[in-house]
Amino acid sequence: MSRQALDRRTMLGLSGLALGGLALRSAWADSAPAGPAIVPLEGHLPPLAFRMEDVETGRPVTEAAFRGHPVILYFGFTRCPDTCPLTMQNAAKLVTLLGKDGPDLRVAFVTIDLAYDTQARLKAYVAKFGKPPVFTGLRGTPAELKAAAKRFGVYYRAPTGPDSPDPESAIRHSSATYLFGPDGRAVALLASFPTSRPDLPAVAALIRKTMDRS
Amino acid sequence: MRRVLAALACLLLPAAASAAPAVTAQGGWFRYLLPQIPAGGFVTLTNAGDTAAVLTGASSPACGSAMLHRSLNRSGMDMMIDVNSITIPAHGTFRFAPGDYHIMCMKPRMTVGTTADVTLRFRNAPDLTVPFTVYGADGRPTGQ
Ligand SMILES: [Cu+2]
Repeated sequence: MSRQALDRRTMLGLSGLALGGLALRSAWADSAPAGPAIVPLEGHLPPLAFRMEDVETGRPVTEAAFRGHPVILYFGFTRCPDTCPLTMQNAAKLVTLLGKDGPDLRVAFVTIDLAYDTQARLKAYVAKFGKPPVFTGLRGTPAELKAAAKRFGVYYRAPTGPDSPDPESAIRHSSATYLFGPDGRAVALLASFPTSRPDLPAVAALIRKTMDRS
Repeated sequence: MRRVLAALACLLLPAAASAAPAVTAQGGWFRYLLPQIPAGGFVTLTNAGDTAAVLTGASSPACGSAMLHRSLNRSGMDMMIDVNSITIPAHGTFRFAPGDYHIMCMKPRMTVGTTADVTLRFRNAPDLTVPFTVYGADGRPTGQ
């Protein structure tokens, strides 16, 4: 697919979201967060729901496992050497910043690269950043992944097999990082979270607010 | 005419030599996770010369193959693109940084806490071999 065609599809995907809105789009437009670091989402994204394999246990898991915890949901892949570990590192820093509230947070990394990210590989990867149950690697069947991506307006493209040449740069995925409250409701798009300027104090303050309210 | 040219060459050569790019590297580091996962390399390049330097590639025995890449976010999509060359302006600097330009180390063989040599190739300057400090998932501590 040509880049132009891909971009068109991306735009179509985005405009198909209930998320529309100029503020959101400008927040997504640039990896250096020129727009707001945090975009409120309440009422604009469905509540947390999914069914996938928890790579730590190898068993199916649903949103029920996260009930009562604020959740950061991110779609990525292990062969992503730059922005994915940057995002996960930001999550690890956030847990530290949250202090005694840190262990209450759940950070869910959903792989979009089912060909390469086996249960064992994703488990080893996630463990580099933090321990379960705070850090969770999720791996769906193709149908489960598709359902989750659709629900959360996430676009991904991983057309490669494990042996394709330079597969990394051909894999694309939405950078959208979402915060859900302990009640499962969508709270915000953390627009600056997958960047080198994540504004962690603001994210920590928002997480504490969602915890107070529940 | 030939003598004039020779004289001109004599005049120009020293000037050309001092105008050549003079690139040095500072603070090179890798974020290394697992052997099966590419590592991202970052470094700051400073050019003290009067001519822009053009970086065209990188290689390292610790990488299998290495590539110049840039992470981009377009309309909410994270992607990486291959970069053919990077220009370090005369008397200027260029920074590789997480979430932006990086050296993509495809098959890393390295150990956290050690260094790995990376050779940078320039179109108009000699190769530069730079030790990169190897960090883990936490990356380079801030403030360094
Ligand atoms: Cu790359």
